[in-house]
Amino acid sequence: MHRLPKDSRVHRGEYEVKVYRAKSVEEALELIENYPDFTLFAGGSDVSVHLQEESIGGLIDITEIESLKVIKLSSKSIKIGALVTINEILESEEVLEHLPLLHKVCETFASHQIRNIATIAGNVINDSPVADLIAPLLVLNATVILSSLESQRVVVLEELFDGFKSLKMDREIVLGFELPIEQGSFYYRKVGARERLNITKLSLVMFRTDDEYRVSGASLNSYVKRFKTIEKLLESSCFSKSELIKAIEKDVSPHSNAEYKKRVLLKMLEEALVEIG
Amino acid sequence: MQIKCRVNAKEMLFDVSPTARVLDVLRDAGFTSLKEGCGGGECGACSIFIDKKLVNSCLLIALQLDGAEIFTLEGLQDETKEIQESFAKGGAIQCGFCTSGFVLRAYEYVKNGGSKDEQAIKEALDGNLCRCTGYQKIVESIEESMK
Amino acid sequence: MKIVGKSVVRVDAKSKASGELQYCDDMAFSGLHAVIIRSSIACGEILSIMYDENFDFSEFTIVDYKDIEGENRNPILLDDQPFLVEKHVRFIGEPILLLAHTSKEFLREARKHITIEYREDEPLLKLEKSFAKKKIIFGDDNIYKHIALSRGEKVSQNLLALEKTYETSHQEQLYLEPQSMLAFYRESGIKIVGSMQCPFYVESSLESLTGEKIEVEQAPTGGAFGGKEDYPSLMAAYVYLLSKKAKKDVKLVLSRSEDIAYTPKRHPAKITLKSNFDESGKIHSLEAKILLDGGAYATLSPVVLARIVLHIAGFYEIGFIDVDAYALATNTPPNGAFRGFGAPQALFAIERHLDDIARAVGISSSEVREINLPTQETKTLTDVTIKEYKNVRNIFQRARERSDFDVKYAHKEPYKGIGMALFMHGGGFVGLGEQDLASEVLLVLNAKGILEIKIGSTEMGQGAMTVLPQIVAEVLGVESSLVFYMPPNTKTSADSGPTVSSRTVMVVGGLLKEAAQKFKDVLGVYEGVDAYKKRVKEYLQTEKRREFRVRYKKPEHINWDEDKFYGNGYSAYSLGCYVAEVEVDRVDFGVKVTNFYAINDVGEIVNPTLAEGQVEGGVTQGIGYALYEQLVYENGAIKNPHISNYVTPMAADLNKIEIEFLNTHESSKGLGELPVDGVAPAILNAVSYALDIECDSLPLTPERLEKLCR
Repeated sequence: MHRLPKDSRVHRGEYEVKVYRAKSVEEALELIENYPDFTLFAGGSDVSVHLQEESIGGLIDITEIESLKVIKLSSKSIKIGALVTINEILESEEVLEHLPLLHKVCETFASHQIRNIATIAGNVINDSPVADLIAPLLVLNATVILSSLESQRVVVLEELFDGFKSLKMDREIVLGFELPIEQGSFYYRKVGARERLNITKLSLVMFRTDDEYRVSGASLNSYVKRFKTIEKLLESSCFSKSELIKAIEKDVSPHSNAEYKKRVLLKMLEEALVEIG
Repeated sequence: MQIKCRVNAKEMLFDVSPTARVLDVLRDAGFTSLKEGCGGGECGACSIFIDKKLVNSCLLIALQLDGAEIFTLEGLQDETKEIQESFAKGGAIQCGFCTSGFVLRAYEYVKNGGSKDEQAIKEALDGNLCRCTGYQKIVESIEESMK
Repeated sequence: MKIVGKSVVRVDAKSKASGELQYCDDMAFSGLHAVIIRSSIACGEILSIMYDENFDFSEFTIVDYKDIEGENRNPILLDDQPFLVEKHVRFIGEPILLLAHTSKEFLREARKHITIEYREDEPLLKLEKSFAKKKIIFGDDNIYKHIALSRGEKVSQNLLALEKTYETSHQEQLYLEPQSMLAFYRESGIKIVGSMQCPFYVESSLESLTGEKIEVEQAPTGGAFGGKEDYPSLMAAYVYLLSKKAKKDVKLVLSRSEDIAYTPKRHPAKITLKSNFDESGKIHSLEAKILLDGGAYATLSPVVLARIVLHIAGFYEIGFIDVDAYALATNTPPNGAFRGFGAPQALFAIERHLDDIARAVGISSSEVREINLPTQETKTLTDVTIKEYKNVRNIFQRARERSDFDVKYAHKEPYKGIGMALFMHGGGFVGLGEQDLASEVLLVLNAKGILEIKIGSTEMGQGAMTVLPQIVAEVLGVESSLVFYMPPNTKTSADSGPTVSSRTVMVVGGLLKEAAQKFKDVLGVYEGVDAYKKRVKEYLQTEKRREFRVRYKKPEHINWDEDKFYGNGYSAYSLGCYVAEVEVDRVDFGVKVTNFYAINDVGEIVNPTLAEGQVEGGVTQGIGYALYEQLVYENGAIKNPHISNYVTPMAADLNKIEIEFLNTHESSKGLGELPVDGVAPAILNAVSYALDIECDSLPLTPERLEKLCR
């Protein structure tokens, strides 16, 4: 038996970190209701670093709920459970075949070791303006399946955010995401300080169907959103460069290095239009 | 909290705070091949296998060890013998602090039938940082071990 | 039997590859952990330190400057840096208090219950403001060191003129093992064990601190690059003081962010070069004004400045050279040693300037260098000729050939460029430094017949513990496994000087050769390894002498006047000519180094694999310096002290470096630092050429490059 550390507040009985392990979604929701000050633990990489600094009353551990770890293909869509890791998404042949954009985004997500820990829900719920997965989920028209004690709801991902760190969830757990299988072409480019293992400087995600352009990108606003002005302009099929620049001004408002990002975004859009028309 | 797991194929019982870092729990138990280079999941020097997945132990908490199968470099000496020799002969080691992490990643990559393409190997090393070697001889040593 | 020149597998390869080797924080330890309480202001005075009376500090060991029995001064050059703040605070992060406890968790808690009240003054943060004496924070003029000298006659009539300013940035060493130090408490005395480059420097600092000689031993060290040249002395002082007070073992390991935020960095420099040259590109005069940011204490700044001055004119034939150089004080963490130690800054300026001159007269980068190559009569700034001048043309031509420079330069493609740098690195300590060090080496024949190398020179990844035995074994004509390098310990090792300045193979190796010869002489005649072993066995039975020492003697040809800054700056110079090919991304302005040629002249190569490793590692750090690594300072503090946002190149960013070593029949010269020196100018010359712009400051990040192109 290894006891460590011998000398800590926990071992002195000064406080105790209670852990409750949920084996089902219902159990998790009950625990959240009964212990509102406990921290939800889903195994991802964002929470553990904070846990070193703060004293917490307890943890609700949902990492054992198997139903949250499934990728399911149906005729119209793919459902990805909240706790599916990035590497699991990369290993999925269904995703590779039907959602190649998502596969591509996952390839350059953080690093190999982090891709084994990070989850799709974790990246979305952390709601960072530089989050890699929110933009592709938005342009793929992903819906989020949420569950509270009372009910389940399905919401278009876009409706969950409307500003910096303004995630609209109330005593709910994300069960997963549903992505429709659509015909279309895509463009993805991520700009980082180096080839791999980056905090995204900016990214452009574009999905084009027969009648729609869906455009988004990370690290260009205080939260990740669709670029509606740009979309409309592209759909009008005839526009000038200066109109595109104006549309960028409307849709994008970076916190830092704004000029650089806007100019690079313009070039990325031009590149995207060459690649997917 | 009492946590039961297997480390390097041996049963281990820990009595620690559930939020203690796995990096600290394992290093305090004597598994010092894993190192703290950054504490933030950026350098890979703390890499371990948990349930067959290579992860940064600095990002895991003790709670996640419960019922898990852990392997550190200490418990994979036979399996990594070839990679170790290749690294030694190939000049892939200088100060050695990053080496444990690279050995585990290289071993996993080769075992999983990774591509022999040089760029693919480099991209596979996206979670491991080295400041001494410039990575060249690490990549060459991995290529050499795949021959 | 030839051992030198063989790629002997490094002695510590197995223990490192298996993960067995124990570094400082891996060693069994059951004592107290330590933390440093640091200032949160950049300039001012401590008014009070208050301990929350509702927090139980009784279990904690607390140390402040009053616990220092000797001098509260770390003895380096100007001796101006205290171990702990007494009253005046000069930079954010300056150590004030030390705390120790068995629990790291409790230490984290305790910090929150100590309140320090300051009287805050306006800090002096900008180099130019320090030079302009907008505020005085050191002496009466902010100047740690001023070097001004001139050589030759200025000619400027009928000549073209060019004046440009080049700026280099801070750079973090980012050794993967953070600063770590242990103090073991014994009745017989405290023993210090830790991650360090210079155990005898640590011993000397502790002597200043305590008045006593304390035993210091180097633990396996996970990288250093100069960042562990002087800082470990402070680390050792802190664990010593806590250990003495608590009468327990103490360990201090810095977190990565603390290490980045507060330990010494590469000095930023602002260098203005004014040159006069004719239409063919021949330079007739060069005037250099150099401003070096030393941070809040002088520490090593005077020597860094000296190296910049001695490298600023490159190795070119220039009739008139005038240098006015200042190392200045600012209220930022003191800067210090990092591989290159001033040479990267100086060579960045002069090598960019050569290309700027080429551009001004419309000739190529290689032509401008060819016209200005030195001859054997060329005099340096310090008015001597250098024997390596005869090798400069050769390395220059070889790099040109190997990289196919002229053809590629002529066939320019959009967004692609090629650039070169021709440079040198003076090995060993400047001037009479080696004489002052008076290094000594010691070989000891042990009872098993193994010859032990017992010196203060340290293994930090560069391979000293493998190549030094090779050097000794070569003299004896045996395999290097019969010579064993012992971990440095100040009680039992000879002081061979610090492991810095690319001096280990050249200077210390030279002394070891002499010591080995002394041993060989007493052994008498033998032929082959078996005969050697037999002879050693006999010797052990019949002779008493086991120790063989040699002390450094200044070579005849080194003459140096420190006051006039005149004479042989260095006993030998390593040469480099590096060529970089780059491609700039049209969309995001990222620069990729697509090909790199590193042609080196460092004399005899002891271990080719390890030597290549030094070049590959050094070039990679140079690429980081040129393109990636940026420390953002705001109000005297580093905003990005994390590996996540202090970006270094990784495997996927790098391509193969073509390496050559010339003149390997000459005696060995320093290799450790040379590979960093010429990288940034080669790359920025290439980018400048690729886009027809002038890239004059480091790092050349995509954001900065995009702005330059607007």
